[in-house]
Amino acid sequence: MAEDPNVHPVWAAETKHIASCLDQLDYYQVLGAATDAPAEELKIRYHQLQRNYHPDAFFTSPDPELRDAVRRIAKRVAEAYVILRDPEKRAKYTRDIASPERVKKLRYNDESVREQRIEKEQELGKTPQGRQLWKKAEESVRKGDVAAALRDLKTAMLFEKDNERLKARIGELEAQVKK
Amino acid sequence: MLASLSVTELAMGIDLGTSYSCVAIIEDGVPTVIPNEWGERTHASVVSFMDDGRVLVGNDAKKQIITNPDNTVYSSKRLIGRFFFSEEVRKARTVVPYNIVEGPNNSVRIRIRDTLYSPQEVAAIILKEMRQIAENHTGQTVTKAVITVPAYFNDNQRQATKDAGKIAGLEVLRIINEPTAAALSYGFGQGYNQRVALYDLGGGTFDVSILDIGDDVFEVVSTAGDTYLGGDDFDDRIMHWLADSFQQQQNVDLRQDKYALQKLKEAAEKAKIGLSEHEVVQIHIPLIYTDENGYSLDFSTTLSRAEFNQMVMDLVQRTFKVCDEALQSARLTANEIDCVILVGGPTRLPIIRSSVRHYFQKQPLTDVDPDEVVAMGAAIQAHALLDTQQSTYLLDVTPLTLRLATVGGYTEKIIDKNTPIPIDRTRCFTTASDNQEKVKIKIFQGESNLAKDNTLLGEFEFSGFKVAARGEVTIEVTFEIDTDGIVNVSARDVETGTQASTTISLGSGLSDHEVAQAQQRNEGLMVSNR
Repeated sequence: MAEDPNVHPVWAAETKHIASCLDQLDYYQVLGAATDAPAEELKIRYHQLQRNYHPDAFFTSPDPELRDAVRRIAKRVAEAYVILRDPEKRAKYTRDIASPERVKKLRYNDESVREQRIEKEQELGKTPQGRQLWKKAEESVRKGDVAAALRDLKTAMLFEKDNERLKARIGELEAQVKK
Repeated sequence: MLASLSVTELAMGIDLGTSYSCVAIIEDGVPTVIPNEWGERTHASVVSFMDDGRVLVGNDAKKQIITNPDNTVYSSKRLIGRFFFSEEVRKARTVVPYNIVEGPNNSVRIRIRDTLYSPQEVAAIILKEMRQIAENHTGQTVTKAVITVPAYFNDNQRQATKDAGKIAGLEVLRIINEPTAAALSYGFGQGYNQRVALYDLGGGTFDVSILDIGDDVFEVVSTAGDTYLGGDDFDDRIMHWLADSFQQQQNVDLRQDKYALQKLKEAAEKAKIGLSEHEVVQIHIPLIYTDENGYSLDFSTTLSRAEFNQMVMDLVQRTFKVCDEALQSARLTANEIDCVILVGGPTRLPIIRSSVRHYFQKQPLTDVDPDEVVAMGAAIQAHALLDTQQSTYLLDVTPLTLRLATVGGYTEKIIDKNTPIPIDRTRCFTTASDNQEKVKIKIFQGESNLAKDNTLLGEFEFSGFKVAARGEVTIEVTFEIDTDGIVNVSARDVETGTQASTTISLGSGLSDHEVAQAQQRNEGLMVSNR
């Protein structure tokens, strides 16, 4: 195997090792940042890591395994950064990797995308009628007509009997009316 | 000392433009544009096939557009990597005098007498000329190159450009984006952070890229573009205005005569360039039309800057729609940009300069010649790739969303636009019928959910996996966008781990065999030095 004379052999071995176990790391571990790291810090880490593992810096390396390892790391670092720079995806991802499903959720995959879409849709109702009524109700709240809002939300309940968020919202508004 | 001279091989940066091309190398540590023997620093991207078998390239070939219109190919970059049925090709066929015909798999070919050339081959002739210029200047063989493309080029166009390099006998180190190359030329990153917008109006394309530059890292945050908008469209406006005025004066429509149209186009380009310096230009075209009695007519008129500005206002506005889009993707507003750089010859126009200043509320930078800035950046990148002492790190993005065809003519996203590259994404597919031997997927690039509104990149067929009852075989497909912005697709059988073999069909590109054939033909061409 051709060794790269411009790279310390220990660093080269370490890099190949990291590349081989990328699939066991979550995105925070990939970036070397805490789960509550501010967005600016993630960006700084992203730049630092790209400096260390940029494929261009190894373009002429005679060691094909090292070139491959660097490329795999660079791709995963970019993937981690892209997901974590998006606040919504980051919130979901951070929840997912703390859950019992962690092992299956280390990469933000199709399932994550689907789940996030469903979560978003359910934010305001699970059925088209429910969503429409809820939207109208929130409009009424903004106008100060809480009574009208409650009427609409209760009608929405007819379509979505098991919607916990909807129940909670009705509870909130009823508490407001009592005051 | 001798040893250090041989550390870095020579590698050139080539800006392969729609209208003009330019080549640069690093000389004594400084990016330098190489002039040809006549001192010309930019070269018309025109190839003219002469009756005696000679081939002219560059500014000489451009002179042939009028006298040898059928055999002189210009603006071929507008055709590269496109399908024959695309809007751009349809438009080109109505405008250019040379013969554009349909090739295999809906590809584009140019017919010169009895020979068919692909747009890649035409580009290869220009690239070979750039190489010749570099070799004449350095007295050395130069085979390694970085070639630039518009940031908004799709996979087909990038692949075709890379193939053009191969046909020209070059080792293409990298395909990089024009605005990103321009940013490299400005030598930022001396220890301070800058947010830079590149406004790149070329001959045939318009791109905007927004970069975060910190120390030695050039991170492209977003890019947007319009591959149907460029300086040529400004010329066309003047050309049609001239044709209209002539029609009013003489009641003759010059647009029916491709020869006259070329003369108008030439006059239009000259007038446009003149308006960058003067408030009013005189336009005089001798012998533009010969009537049925054999009487020849000249055409004279004047064009003022104000008239011109009015003619092109909507084109200028279109560039700012693209700027809006790039800023929106980057989640920024125009006043959060620290500096604006102008790239491309057409940005010399006063209307562009003043509109850019107005939009960004900043005086745009023009320190480096807008015609040369891209080639110089490409030379810097070429040098950096071969140098083990890496000094700048480019983090570019993919300009278009990569999509997978689903049922009913719809698509779903695989990799979003403005995702940093290189990147990969893996998806699993299961077989839909018993004993299925092949899995086919179709991929697209574009921003629509509907397949038909995106660009087809190709249909991939996987085979060689276990044959079993339906749903029992899972194939893991990896979509990778590499550092050239080119899409690679590979698949493996999850259970056995064996790599499935992949064949691409329906692509617009050249096969390896066609590239090899074109390479041979290219070597045999008699490129003439005037």
